[in-house]
Amino acid sequence: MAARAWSTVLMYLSPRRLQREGTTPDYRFSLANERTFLAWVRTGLALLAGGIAVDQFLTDLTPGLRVTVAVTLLVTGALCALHAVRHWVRCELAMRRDRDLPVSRVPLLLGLIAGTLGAAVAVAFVVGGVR
Amino acid sequence: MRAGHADATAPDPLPVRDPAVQPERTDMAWWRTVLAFAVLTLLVWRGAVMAGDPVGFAVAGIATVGWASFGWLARRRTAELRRGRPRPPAVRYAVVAMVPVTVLVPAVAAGAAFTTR
Repeated sequence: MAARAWSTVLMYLSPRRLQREGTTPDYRFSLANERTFLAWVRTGLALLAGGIAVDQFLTDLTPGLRVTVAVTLLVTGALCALHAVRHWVRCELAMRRDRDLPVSRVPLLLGLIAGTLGAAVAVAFVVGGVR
Repeated sequence: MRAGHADATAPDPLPVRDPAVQPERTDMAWWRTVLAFAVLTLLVWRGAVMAGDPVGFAVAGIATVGWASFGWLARRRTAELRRGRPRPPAVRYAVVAMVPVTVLVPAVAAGAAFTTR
């Protein structure tokens, strides 16, 4: 189990290890996988920009709430970036081994976090939490 | 065999393939990402200038270096895509592409904590 996890981590780092697995899929599918990876990276970058924007522009929020929202966005952005690589490698492996594509709870988590933050800021503007 | 593997398991319903569009879409996805990184970098610079503290400028410098290296990567990869039939993307691109982001995140978080007004 541990050895298996370690060999997957090595595949994150070494393209040759990944290419030794299974057979090379149609390159159009690999390119689609690459675009999905880039879309996740963009999502991460947008969350980072959002966190910095909250810190810079929502100066009417109380400092505690502003820092909480900003840091949550920054950390979520970081997790998105890491998820991009993990998902990319897992999809590539699944295609090479002719298995089902991996499923994940990350989209659900992302939706919950975005929804919660949006609701929190909206409530703050309506009932207080604003200087 | 390399590119024909999927055709053997799942026959393409279209009689003629159009491989030209896929590299182009991937090309544009790379540049969209570079653009998103540029927006982030500008925001970090704005914060540094507004706060006017050394930590903010250090973070802005890191963001700029990250953005530049990401642009360099995009240039390399899109040149590879344009060179006729693209090979399967190498994982090293994915891993190297992550470096600016993963370096940036702790720096930005630290910067945000220090520059909180």
